[in-house]
Amino acid sequence: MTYLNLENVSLDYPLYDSANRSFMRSITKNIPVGGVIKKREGNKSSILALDSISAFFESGDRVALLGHNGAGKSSLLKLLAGFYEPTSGKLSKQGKVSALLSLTAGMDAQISGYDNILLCGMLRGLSRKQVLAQMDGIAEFSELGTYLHMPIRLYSDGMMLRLAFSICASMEYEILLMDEWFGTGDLAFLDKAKQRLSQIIHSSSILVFATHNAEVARQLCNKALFLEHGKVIYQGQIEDVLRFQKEQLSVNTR
Amino acid sequence: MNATKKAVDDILRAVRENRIWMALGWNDVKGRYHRSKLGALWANVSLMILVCALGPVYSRIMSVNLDVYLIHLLLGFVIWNYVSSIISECGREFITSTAYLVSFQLGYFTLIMRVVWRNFIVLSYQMLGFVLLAIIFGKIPQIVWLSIPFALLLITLNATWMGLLLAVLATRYRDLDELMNNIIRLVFFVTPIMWMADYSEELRFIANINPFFHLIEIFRMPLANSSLPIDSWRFMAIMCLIGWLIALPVFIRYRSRIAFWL
Repeated sequence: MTYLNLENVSLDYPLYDSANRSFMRSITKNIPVGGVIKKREGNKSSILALDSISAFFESGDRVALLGHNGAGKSSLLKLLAGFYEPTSGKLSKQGKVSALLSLTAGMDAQISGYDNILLCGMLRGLSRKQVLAQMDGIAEFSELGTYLHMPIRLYSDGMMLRLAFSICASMEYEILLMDEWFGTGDLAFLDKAKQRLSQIIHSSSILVFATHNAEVARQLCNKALFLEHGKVIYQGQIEDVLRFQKEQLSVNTR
Repeated sequence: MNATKKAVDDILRAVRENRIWMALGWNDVKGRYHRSKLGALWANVSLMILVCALGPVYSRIMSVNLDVYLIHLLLGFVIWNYVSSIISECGREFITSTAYLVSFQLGYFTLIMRVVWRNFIVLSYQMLGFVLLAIIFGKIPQIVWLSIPFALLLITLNATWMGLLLAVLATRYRDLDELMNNIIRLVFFVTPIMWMADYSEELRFIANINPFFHLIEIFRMPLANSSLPIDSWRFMAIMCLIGWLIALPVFIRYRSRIAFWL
């Protein structure tokens, strides 16, 4: 049984830079973006990036994380990925978590496309043999041909994206965490990429997807969390949350 | 208890996912000598150039035979480079590899092992220099050489706790990394690498209170003098134990904070 369970999870991000002493005096309440900045005893201060979040995701859930910049979407993804640990509350999970937070993560500009495929595959936990078995498929999907023998510093941004996406798309995922990185790369490839992406998502057990785009969220997800200042202020079925978000916007702009 | 379990998990993951740090370590070595004709052999060639240039001069200052001095110098440098590079590179490892931590959920200890592995590869190349000198000077392999793998293991265990401790602390206190680099540079000069401990009573004394001397000696003595330095072995075993007893609790206590310090 694959699941992600958050019980009252908070992430209180401590600030260490000495600069905060002076700017802490000028804390303004109600900054529209970001987590709540707190001043603790002494000169210590922190950002409450996630505030008492409770949620339960199980197999079949495709969850969109919605909210403003700095609402806590990325922090929540990094917490689910295991990079941050909750400063209070409890996170329990069953199943292998994979994070596609940055498409080109782990790629080395000096080595060839093929070597990058090998390296990235191994970083995702595959054995050398397993990656080699998939090599042809990845190469074909990327359509990069002979370029795969060249160091990727010679690639254009679009070619990098093709390679990076082809590598990510060749894996199978149980719990998939994704930050939005659509909209780059040439469009013909993107169509094919979108298709493959929905395949990956359908074969994964749980998807958690951070996005600003209501349309994409509707296409990919069936549930959603709406975050503001690190708090979940609404969660439920995707349509309900999107309606709530729309109402919020119209209230705020009125 | 929870923190202990997670720290132990982190270390066990590094054991399980050994192919990840092996792949990263190899890639680092290849990257360092990228597009050079000799490639990773440069690790060996650079050291040989240094040793062969210094040897004729310093062997006279130390008034020993050239063959004795060359082997002393080479083996000293090999272990010194190994240990000092592990320590100083670990200090920056978490900071430079943040992307790996975020995107691939690598354990912290996996990154420490990556540093250890790439330096082990360098050491292996540099030992080709010893093979060369041994052949030139007609050194015959001794039974006591069988202690070398174990010495290397003990050296690695010692370097690893130092690296782990520094990695955690230097990520929090960024000045520590620079400070350590300075200290390491100084320690080099007070450690018998360029000079020899047997030159005088006073030097012998200075060497004996220096842990790095013993660290080098358990590797160098069997190969250079065909003898087993029991005292140095004892010293290193105790230091290894105490070191891990310091480094592990620090890692357990602060592991979950490291992400905030990056």
